[in-house]
Amino acid sequence: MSRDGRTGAPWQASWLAHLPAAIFTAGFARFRMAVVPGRRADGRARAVGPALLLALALIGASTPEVAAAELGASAGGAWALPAGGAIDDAYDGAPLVRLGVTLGGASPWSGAISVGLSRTEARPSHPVFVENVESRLRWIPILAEARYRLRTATRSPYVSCGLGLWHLRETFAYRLAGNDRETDGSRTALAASFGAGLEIGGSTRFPLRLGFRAEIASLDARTVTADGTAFEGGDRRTASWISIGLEIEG
Amino acid sequence: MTEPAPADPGRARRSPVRPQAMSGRRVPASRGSTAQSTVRPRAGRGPCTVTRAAGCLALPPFLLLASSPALGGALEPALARAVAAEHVSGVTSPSTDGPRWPVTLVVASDAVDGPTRARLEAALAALQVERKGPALRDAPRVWEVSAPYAVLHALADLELVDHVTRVLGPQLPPDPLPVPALAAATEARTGTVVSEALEEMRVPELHALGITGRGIRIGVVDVGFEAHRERIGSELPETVTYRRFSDAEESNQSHGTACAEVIADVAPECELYLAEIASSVDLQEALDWFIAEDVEILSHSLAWFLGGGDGTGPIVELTRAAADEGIHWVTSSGNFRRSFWQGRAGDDDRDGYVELGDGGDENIGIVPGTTTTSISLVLNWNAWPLSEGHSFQIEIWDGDTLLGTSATDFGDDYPFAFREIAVTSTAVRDPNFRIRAIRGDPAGIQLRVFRVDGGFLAEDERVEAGSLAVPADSPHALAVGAYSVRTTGLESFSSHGPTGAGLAKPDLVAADAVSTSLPRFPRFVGTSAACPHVAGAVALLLSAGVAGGAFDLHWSREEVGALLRGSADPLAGTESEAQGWGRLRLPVGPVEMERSRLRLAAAGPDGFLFTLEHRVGTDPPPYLGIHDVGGRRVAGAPAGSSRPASPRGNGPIAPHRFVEVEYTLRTSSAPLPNGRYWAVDPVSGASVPFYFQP
Repeated sequence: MSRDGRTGAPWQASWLAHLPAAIFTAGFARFRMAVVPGRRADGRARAVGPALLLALALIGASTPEVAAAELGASAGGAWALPAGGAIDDAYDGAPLVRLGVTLGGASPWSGAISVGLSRTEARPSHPVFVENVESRLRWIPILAEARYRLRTATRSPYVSCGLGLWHLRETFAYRLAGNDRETDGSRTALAASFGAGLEIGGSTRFPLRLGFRAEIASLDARTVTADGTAFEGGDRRTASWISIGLEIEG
Repeated sequence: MTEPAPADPGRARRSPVRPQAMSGRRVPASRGSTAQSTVRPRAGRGPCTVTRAAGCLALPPFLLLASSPALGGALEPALARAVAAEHVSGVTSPSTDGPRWPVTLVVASDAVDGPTRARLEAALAALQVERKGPALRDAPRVWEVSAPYAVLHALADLELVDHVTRVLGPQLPPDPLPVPALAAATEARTGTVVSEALEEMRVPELHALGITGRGIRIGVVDVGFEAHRERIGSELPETVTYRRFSDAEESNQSHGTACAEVIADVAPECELYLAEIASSVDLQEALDWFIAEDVEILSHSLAWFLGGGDGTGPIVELTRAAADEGIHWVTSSGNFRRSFWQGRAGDDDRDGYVELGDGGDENIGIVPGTTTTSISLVLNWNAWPLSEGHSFQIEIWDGDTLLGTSATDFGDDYPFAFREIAVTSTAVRDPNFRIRAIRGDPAGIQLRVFRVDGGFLAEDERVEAGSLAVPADSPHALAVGAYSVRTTGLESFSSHGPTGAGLAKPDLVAADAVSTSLPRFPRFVGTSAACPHVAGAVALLLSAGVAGGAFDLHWSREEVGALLRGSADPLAGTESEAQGWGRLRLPVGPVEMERSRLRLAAAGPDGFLFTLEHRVGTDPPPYLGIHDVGGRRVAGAPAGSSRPASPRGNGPIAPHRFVEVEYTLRTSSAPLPNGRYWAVDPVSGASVPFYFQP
């Protein structure tokens, strides 16, 4: 579907319009609750997610523009590179694929929810008594994004910003005291994104976007051990990723 | 910074079961008395009435003037005497405004929960008794409370209270140095004093790599941290948090400060959490604090006797809880190698005294002092948390003259498997102890006796194996013995394993006889000094993790153990039961784990043949333990021939570093019931299961 005048089923659009809020709030709640077994769980965080979800759903349902928006799908590929912060530059750049659902119309504003997947690895520095340390990091950014086209022409620059969730899963493999060992941990973090680029064929059935997106997340220090224990500790820190690529919508 | 030298160079010790008044004055306990206490049956006691008057609890005169233990009922005799002494001294008025004492209650079974518990709590409130903390983790009937001393008799008279006793507390390991030597070593220290063991631990090499324990939180539990504040930022790290869990005033002991100093020498950028405790409930609360503060290591240089030495008891339960939270609990193994006896109880001649030695001897000799002899003994047995089916008393005799009995302080109904007796006497020629079986069939009970005044038991009668203080018998704690940094030999007092469950302990040994800035500990001797070296070493290992991704990678308890074990350096000519993996050395390169390997080589109608690949440099165990499904050691398989082991492993492990030793379990010598058993190497913990079906 595109911006050719067709409209999606109103009930469907209305229902889908709640999806970003649902994903966002569920993820936020998960982010707050993602505390380690055996350590403290924040009871208040359990209430924040559902309450926020309810509030956003009510707002979404009462917005006629959102309910009348057109649905679309998008797919893209990019080269993603950890850009400092907690995810240090020891990690290689890696391909990122992203699939999404878009909501748009005649307005220069449009919105999208997308899910990406990237996998990178590194050989982080390690103490002298450990050997062959490898880290494999899976990055799954879920993004609810608003986009603004600066012109109505076929070719138009755009800027975007959004809120999202990162799901990060990291696996460590190493050799310690004569044994090969492996352990992993997964976590979710709240993220923000900023993007810019050029949209080509904005009035066609398959507009194409070429641009970049910078995403940044705040991570509290989280530690895993080989026996499956994970715990919070240390200072909060930021992590960032930059991705440059193409995205097609239809 | 220095502190004034104490007038008495001997270490002021704390009784493991002695309460302190809120005023800070110590409740007196009898010494050298031979008087027997009697406890009046509860049924014979009259009703106790408590009335309130002018906001103060008014107690009936007979209750306030109860100076005889006979009126105490379930009140421990030592407490009853202390109440009487407090009243007679006239120092304080006998009201609820008077000093409050921490005491332990054993409540009735049906008072643990439900409406009956509410009734009991209301009764406690009426007596202005405050429940201090939760019950011990494995003993919901055991409560610690703070009570005005004047209401203790009334407390004992409550229907739902079975016993009122002094609190269950820890003890500093006895000072292993004779007092004259210690006095000669006392000198004022100024400037930064650093443990002499750092070099051989390879600490400077790790410091040079930037591995300094940064950000690692270490909890230190002890009975006192005097003079720690002025050492923050110099002898101690910049970040030190102190919290007192006992009700008493701040202790004037500096033992904990000495431990903290050693940790800071090894891991100077760690964060220290100092917890001053005086009872087992304090320890539990301190552990909760450590968990809330994300403390990763617990350094514990104290000795408890609340356990059977077989990995049971309330303190071992706490180590398990700490391990569940990922905390590395490091504990001193104890200084009791020459002051310990253990054996199975039995009273074949039914004269009331347990046979302790070979040939039915009913006494064990005690090494007397040259002039005045002070003897303190602790008896415990494997019935925890409560021993209501069995009761024993320990007595100290000089030849055939009774010098003292634990019944004086504890009474025959004392509910815990623990007794203590202390006497001081001159011209003692033939001191010995005997154990009286008071209640229950003593057969099969494992009795353990520690001499805790620093003296020894008779050389030909004491037992070295198993002389571990609690919780060094815990599988969830790293138990640390001591070797002298000056002689590089094992300290003669360092407690031996294995545990009563056949577990190889201590895990390793670390240096003692190191310097601190404290005048009381210019030379810090004992397993108390060894333990913080290991705690600091663990902090270094944990601070050397892997970072850079979404997670930091830290080493698990098992991995830390593997690193320490793989890099430990066995002391030549020292039994493995005394040194575990060897002396502490930190890894400065890849560590290849060198495991002992135990296999069942053959089985037949005559028995079983096991082979153990054992690391050269330590003595192989003389016996393999044979354990049943309950973990109890039921037999032993003696060592036979040995030969160099075949090449093994996929790492650079030289085969000549292992020797293969054969052990044989003969069916005729071990008539065991059919069933499943494990053969266990008490040194490495390696085990192999087998079925016994002769």
